Amino acid sequence: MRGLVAALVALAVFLAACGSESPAPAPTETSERAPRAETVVQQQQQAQQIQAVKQQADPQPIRQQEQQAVADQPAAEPSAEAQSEADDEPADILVPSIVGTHKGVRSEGASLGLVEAPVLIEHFGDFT
Amino acid sequence: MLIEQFVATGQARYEYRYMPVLGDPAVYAAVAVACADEQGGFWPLHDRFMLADETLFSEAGLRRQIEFEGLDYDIFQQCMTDGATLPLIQASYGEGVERGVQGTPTIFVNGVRVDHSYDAIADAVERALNAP
Repeated sequence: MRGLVAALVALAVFLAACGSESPAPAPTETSERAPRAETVVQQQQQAQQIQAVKQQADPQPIRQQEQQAVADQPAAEPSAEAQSEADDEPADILVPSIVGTHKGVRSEGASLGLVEAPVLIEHFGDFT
Repeated sequence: MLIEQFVATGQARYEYRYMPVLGDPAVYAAVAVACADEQGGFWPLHDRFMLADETLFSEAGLRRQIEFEGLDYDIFQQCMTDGATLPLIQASYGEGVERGVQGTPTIFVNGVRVDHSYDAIADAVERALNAP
């Protein structure tokens, strides 16, 4: 009888151990938070990238580097229409900014005011 | 007041440049505003950060503000995580370093660095407008 009880106890312990190693646990609060934790990690990586830029203090802005890279690429044969459109666009715009209004003033991305305004105020700022 | 006095009247154009010099929160804020900008939401979020709204540094608070502005939070969140705006911020930061910016705010009027007080900026704009 004692042997049977001992065997049953051993079996129960074994089954409990197997259950704790189940590969597909039901969703828990922790597993639901995983994407958020990943986001934090990615944001930390972004911050590290910015920090690397600060440390390098590269005198050549990345936009210029990208323009140079684009300039170095062999040019595809543009159509006449595409060439005409390209001639009308400023060379330094990588992504078109959305034009709108802010407090009644024309806005375009991070700019306020008319493009042809005679004075340019540049504000290097930090949001904190 | 500078905006009303000089920008709204067509005499000056105002451009904001990202210069996140104050650590990770500054980078986070710059990325958030740049991502809002991709949906045309730069200025509302800019203004909110400038009010030192601490709730923007929590996911829930930022989401509330993004949705309040009528922006798509899923697109915004994707932008926040994929780092798509980092080249723009890095370029702005690099330009600042190249031009000798060491702290914020730093103001240039027609390329000339001026003090960031209202009087100094207004005076520099007036001089630029009256220059021959």
